[in-house]
Amino acid sequence: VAATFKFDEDNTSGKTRTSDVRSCNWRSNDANSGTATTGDVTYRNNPITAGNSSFIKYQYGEFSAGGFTTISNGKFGHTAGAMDTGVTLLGQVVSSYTTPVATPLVVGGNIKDMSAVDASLSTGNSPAVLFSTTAPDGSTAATLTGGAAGFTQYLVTQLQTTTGAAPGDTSTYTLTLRYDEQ
Amino acid sequence: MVTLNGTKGTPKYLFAAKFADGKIIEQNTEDRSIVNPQCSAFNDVLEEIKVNPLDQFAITDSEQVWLVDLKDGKFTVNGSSFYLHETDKPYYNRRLIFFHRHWTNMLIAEEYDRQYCLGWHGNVEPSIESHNEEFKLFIR
Repeated sequence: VAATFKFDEDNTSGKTRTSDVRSCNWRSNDANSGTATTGDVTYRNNPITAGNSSFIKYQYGEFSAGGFTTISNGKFGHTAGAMDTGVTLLGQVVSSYTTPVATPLVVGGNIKDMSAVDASLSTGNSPAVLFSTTAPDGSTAATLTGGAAGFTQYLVTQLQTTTGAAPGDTSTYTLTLRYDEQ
Repeated sequence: MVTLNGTKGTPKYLFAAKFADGKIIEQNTEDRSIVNPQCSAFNDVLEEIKVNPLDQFAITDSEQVWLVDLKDGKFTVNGSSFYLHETDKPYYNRRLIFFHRHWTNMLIAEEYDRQYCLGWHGNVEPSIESHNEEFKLFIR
């Protein structure tokens, strides 16, 4: 049986996991981005007021067991879609989780300004991603081996706005998780 | 093969590996290892390499064929051969490079690109610890 890859998202102080999320809609509350079944019908009810930041998103990749020999060379970054006026995207790749808040992330250390498009994931603002056989905040290795089920680290993002940001939905951006499989 | 969100798929290209003693390992369409069914078929190549040097490795979609010859570093694409390295420069310990690279869009949870990487890397001196150089093709 071929292994399945999907994106998951954790929310709330209880680290509530939503499996197989199909979008990443930044918003003004701590809620998941919806699954193939549920969709995401609530993000428009929780817009980010211009001048504020979204709640921080904690999403990650999950691989089911079997079907591959190795998974390695993970990278994460903003690969398409220019940012709108007054909107910036910050992100980081980490193996720790804290209850999502709307407090603005500050660039430095692992936290990157991912606003610029990096189509080839070749700049320092597109960090490497490690893998874990236990959880996105579990102990990490550069490679998943032997078809063992596993997770990426948390792919953390936050949308930040100025008062000059336009109302309504932003343009569509592409955030890419890239990995090599054998 | 890893598939996104459970979408059933088959490999776009299937591989065949030829070893020094003439043994051939071909990828099955299920992409499942015989040695370890938990793994993909490429696992069997990695296991065989431990005891039997790999001479040639090719991928094909039944119409086009990309081949790398580990004996001399030569690439052959649909019958036309070429080198990516300077042929008067010796390389040692040639090893296969093969993987598929997945590009997945987190905002819509879709894979939008997959590249197959085929090539080799080798040391510039006999020591395995010496400087290593890579020569590879990315194929869509």
